[in-house]
Amino acid sequence: MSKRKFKVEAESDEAFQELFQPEYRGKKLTDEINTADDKWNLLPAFLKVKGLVKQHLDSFNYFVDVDLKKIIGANELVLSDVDPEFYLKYLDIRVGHKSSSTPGTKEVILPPHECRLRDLTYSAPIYVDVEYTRGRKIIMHKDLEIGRMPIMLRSNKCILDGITEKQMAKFDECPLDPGGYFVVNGTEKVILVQEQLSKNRIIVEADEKKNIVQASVTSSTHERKSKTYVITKNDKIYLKHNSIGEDIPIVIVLKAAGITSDLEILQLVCGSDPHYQDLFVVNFEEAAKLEVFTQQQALNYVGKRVKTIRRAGAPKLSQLQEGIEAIATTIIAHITVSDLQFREKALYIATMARRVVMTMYNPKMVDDRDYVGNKRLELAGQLMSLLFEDLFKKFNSDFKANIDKILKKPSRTSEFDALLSINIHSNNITMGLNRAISTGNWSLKRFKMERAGVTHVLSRLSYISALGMMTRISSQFEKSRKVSGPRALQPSQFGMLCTSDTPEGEACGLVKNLALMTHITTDDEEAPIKKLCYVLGCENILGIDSATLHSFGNYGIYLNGTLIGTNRFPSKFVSDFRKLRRTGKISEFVSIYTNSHQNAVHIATDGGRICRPLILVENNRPKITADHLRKLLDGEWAFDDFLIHGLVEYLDVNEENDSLIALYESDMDNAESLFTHLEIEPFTVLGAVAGLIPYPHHNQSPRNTYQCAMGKQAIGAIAYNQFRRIDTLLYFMVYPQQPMVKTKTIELIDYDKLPAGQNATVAVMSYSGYDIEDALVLNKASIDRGFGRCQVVRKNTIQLKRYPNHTKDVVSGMRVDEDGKAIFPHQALGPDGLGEIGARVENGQVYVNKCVPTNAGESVLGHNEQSPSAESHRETPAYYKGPEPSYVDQVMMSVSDNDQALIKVLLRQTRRPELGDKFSSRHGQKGVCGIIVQQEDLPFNDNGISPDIIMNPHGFPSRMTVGKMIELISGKAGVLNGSLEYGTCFGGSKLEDMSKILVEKGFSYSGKDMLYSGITGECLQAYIFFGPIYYQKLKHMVLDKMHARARGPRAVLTRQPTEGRSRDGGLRLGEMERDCVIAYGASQLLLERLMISSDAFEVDICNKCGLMGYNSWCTTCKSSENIIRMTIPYAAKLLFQELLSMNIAPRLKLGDIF
Amino acid sequence: MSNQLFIEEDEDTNIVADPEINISPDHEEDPIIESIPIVLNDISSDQNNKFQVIQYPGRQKNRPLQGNFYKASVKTVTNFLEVKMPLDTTKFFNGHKIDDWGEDIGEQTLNGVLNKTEGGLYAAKIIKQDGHKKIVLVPIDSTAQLRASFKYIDDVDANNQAQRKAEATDTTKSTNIQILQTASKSGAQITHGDGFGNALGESLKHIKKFEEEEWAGLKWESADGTMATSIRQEAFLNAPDSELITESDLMSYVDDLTRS
Repeated sequence: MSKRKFKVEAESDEAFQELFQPEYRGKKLTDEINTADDKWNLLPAFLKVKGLVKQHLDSFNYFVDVDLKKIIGANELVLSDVDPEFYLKYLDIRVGHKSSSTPGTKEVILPPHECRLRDLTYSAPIYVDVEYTRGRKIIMHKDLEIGRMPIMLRSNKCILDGITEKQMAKFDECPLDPGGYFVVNGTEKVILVQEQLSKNRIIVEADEKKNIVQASVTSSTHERKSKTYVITKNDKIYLKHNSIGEDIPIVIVLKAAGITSDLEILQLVCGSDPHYQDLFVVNFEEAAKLEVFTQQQALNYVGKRVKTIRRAGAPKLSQLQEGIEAIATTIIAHITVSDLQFREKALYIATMARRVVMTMYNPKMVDDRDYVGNKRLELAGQLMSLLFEDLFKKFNSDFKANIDKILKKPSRTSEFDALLSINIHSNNITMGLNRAISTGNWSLKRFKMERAGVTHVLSRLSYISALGMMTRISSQFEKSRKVSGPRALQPSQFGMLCTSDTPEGEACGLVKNLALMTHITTDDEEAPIKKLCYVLGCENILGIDSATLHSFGNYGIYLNGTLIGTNRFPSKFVSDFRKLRRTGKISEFVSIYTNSHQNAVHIATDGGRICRPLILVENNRPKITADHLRKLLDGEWAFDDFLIHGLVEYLDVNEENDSLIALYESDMDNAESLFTHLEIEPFTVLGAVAGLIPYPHHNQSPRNTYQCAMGKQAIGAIAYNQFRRIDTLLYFMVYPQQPMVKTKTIELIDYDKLPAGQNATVAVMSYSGYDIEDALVLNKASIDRGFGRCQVVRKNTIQLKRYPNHTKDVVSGMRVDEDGKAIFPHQALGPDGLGEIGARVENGQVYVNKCVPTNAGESVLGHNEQSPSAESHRETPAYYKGPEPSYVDQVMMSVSDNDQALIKVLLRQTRRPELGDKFSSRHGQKGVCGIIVQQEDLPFNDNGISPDIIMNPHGFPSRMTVGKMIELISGKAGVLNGSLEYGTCFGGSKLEDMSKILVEKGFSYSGKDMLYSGITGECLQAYIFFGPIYYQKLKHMVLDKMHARARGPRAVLTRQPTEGRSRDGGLRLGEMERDCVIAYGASQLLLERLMISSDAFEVDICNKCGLMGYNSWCTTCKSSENIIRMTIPYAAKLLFQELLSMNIAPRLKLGDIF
Repeated sequence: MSNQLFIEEDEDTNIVADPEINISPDHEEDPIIESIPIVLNDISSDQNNKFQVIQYPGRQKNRPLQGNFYKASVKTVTNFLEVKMPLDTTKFFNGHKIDDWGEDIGEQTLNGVLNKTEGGLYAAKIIKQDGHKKIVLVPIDSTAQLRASFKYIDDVDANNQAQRKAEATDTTKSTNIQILQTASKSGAQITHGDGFGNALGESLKHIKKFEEEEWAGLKWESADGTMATSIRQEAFLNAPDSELITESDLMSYVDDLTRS
């Protein structure tokens, strides 16, 4: 902006003089960098470190580097039942490099792009170090491979990590591709982020109609997952758990957990609050009635009600033992009981009961399930870790079984070496991981969990669709249920989840997208934080007596939902804690916040919390100064430096509640309240996909949502390596352009480098009547020039198999006719039997002439000596099918995993826009091409410019997409000015400035031009809103949809026409259409449509018995006397027969109508 | 092993957190009035003496323990403490219940798990010696909260149950057919079949260990007893005169803490 001002002013000397004045338009020459305007530079710095898919990478890196070691540690020993001396211990685990290899080695099979092309899995070996006994000796073995791990692209185990663009080009990889997905069997698979209710936290809910309050907690450990409830029933409180047959009165549970004194129970649950005490006191009567006084009695009571599912062979437990087991491990499983110290568990149960009592007294104390702070996001790493632990346990138990089998044999010739039998099972881990990722079926034995649809194929329709998929969050919530709560926009979503980007229809609000500046935490160690809390003045919970626990002013300190102590000065505690975090002593992702309703300080270190960076504020001034920003711009500082210096910090949703965040720096001037944080940039409330929209803050909200869905369907550039890719189906735009009106987000996500659309000159006017219902008028000359032109490439895979009898498929050359020319089907083939590059393939022509041996099924052992040379083959060519011809783009021949030849043929079509192709602007305004008009007939302006697109003005009033109008004006100003303008959300180029440019260039401030009719040459009666708007061509094209059929294939069972275009199906006259025809009275048409044209069938019916016969013979009556031949739908005949098979005899009674 | 000193809760009022961690001494609001040297007397080197805080949350402050008739014993491996005290049968004692619960309710049993402190808990005393003040800190080994156990009720229950069981087995004799069947398979093989089963839960194993361990008797001393006085003397008055000086500065201390 300032540059432009400079240019304009510089034209006259006077204006130039003005610049030399110490003060120019209120700005001094020595002005500081404006922190308010320049702080947005933190955003590119953030994205540089974090990237858009950092959450996936972080999570995977954490899994590979930390979690794997924990899993190994938890399952480190393999022992034998036969030989007590034998053991095998896992010492260490590594993925992708050996212990001896130099640091930074990344041992992957092949570069990722080669894996994509060759249908392989991009993986790296998993090495373990083991220590085991062989005879008497203890042997250490390093770098034992136990399987292969699929590697997430761009993770720290991937060869693409940290390499330059040039090196990327060598690997045929696009530097803009975000990574974060896997390549399994050649397909790119994403593990979508899953949203769940947080684990190990108490959630209190109330059903006021039923008068039920319940506190529930889902305990999740490595070993088990279970849910414990504390519920009210007739105002009495019970504990409910799946493995306990009936609900246990809360007092008995607490007694079983060692709190035998009624006074203590009352103090723990109610404190000294008389209201709570009144509500709770009934529960004591219940326990007294049941005569449970001591811990042992209570344990017996619980033990008696435990549902025992003991496997055969396991020791039978006494009632008391069952009770102890239930209290210690089953109920609230995530709290472990050591040394018989039940107190922590008792306190947890008491806390749950307290929350229930509090809610009974004040129903407003319930928790909100939909609140983002109560949600956790499950990422690829966590899911992989669950899967790996399961597979590893299976691996170990298989291994153990194997060892036992060998050791059991009394006489062994050689000394037993365990390593010989460990390799047998290494395929299990590899295959298990591969299968889960490629099918998306996560089945975990230990949780008895079966989850389908965890992974998805990465959509490569355009760069944005791939990016949009990486930031997508899917909810575990059922789509079919009609509830509004989980779908509604949550206020706590602000800045964390995109407010616009969600699909329409059944998944609306359940599928969300991450906002631009978010981070998802990974697990952090609890122990050091706990220690730190004690040092900061938190009193250990084991030393606190029940009387003081809930006394006034005492705040409980909760670490990941578990009470670890109390503190009387919570604000000091919290501020001390934050100080340590801001100095980098604790991980920046640990959050702490006070909940004054519960008198609690909550500290969270668990993974899956969404958080975002904010600028710290002190005394209503941001801590970031111009100096800091200069360091950033000079490249001296990176984003992490801001964290280390305590200028920026991450806040999760819960901690946001503890802070006052200013949107703009100016909000803090003269403000009465003390702000704690400052927003880095307000447009980060939107995600990557919604960030493409120019001026979204001027649009009606649903329009932005529509654009988010459509932006993912736009055809454009996919990646720098797009012409090296061989995907099932790819769309390329031939001449993509970056938008005239950009946003900051567009630049940040490099959409301007891989755009999906073109700047079309749009005239908003009515023309020809072929523009009703949002249809567009296209300029033929623009289409000739390449507007909206795209290419569609489709992959065809042919495998040449080998058969057990040593025969194999071959490719044979083209066949020629008597003139020596190739026969019509083989015209595209070369002498090698493969389609020639660039050859045109028409419907019915062959692009690979594959032949299979005629004796493939014969056995190996048979007569193989008789005819070794006379191997005969039968042609099974791959035919091209399609209304329009294609051209052979690429042919790839390779060898896949199982040593079979793999041929991929890529066929290309170039398409120009035609009637019915779908286009859309970036404001959720889609339309199909209604007519293509010669340029001569289109209106033109003074400069002779005629529009590329004419859009009907009726598209505006009801849609209220004001942003589109501003985009036009900004775009027009940019075109005239030679600059790219910005339409960033809550900012961007100002309309006034744009209008000023237009006026300066001799145009109307309003963007309206005088146009002349192309037909009459007269000027049009009204000024026409005229200028460039960025238009996207959507993937829905008429060529892929058009379909008609007279006769064709029929389904075997019903003899009705098949369904669907791909099967050359018929067009259905459905129920509603049938109703219309009935209403109209066109009975003969009905008869023709429903039977004659569909599945008419001649049937012989016996008029005597009413059943069907055949060949004029009734099998029931054994006569041909009363047979009448008539026509019925085959489906009706089928129905009768099916009824007969169910012992129902439908009999037809025939009569004459006329 | 035998000689442990118990400090009653009321006496040990000043459990101080580590004094080094005044993260941000706000100098203006909180001026230093007086500096007192701190002396750390680590008596844990002496294996026989340990400071342990014992709380009895069920008893009110204005009803301190009296008399010398207590018996204490401990299971050191499984960290369990038991104190037996005579029952005051004069107050709130329902004599009729003796009929139900047997006549040997002579004493009340209190027990609790000893929780090891991970450092940071100290017993402290300000000592004035020839005009000099000093604070003596003695690290506390562990804390325990005692709760009443009613073994006599459990015993009655257990007796009843055993009786019932005996009656039940009399009537139906052959119940162990099932066991024979399962025993024919090798048990361990099955439980570990899928790799996810384990025979006895961690807590049950611990109980087994607990039951196998012998009680070690302790000597009970009242607060003003000779031994208690001498130990107190040793712990506080005879503390070495070397002042505790921190060598690590605040930040390195915090680093030490937060390093995982």
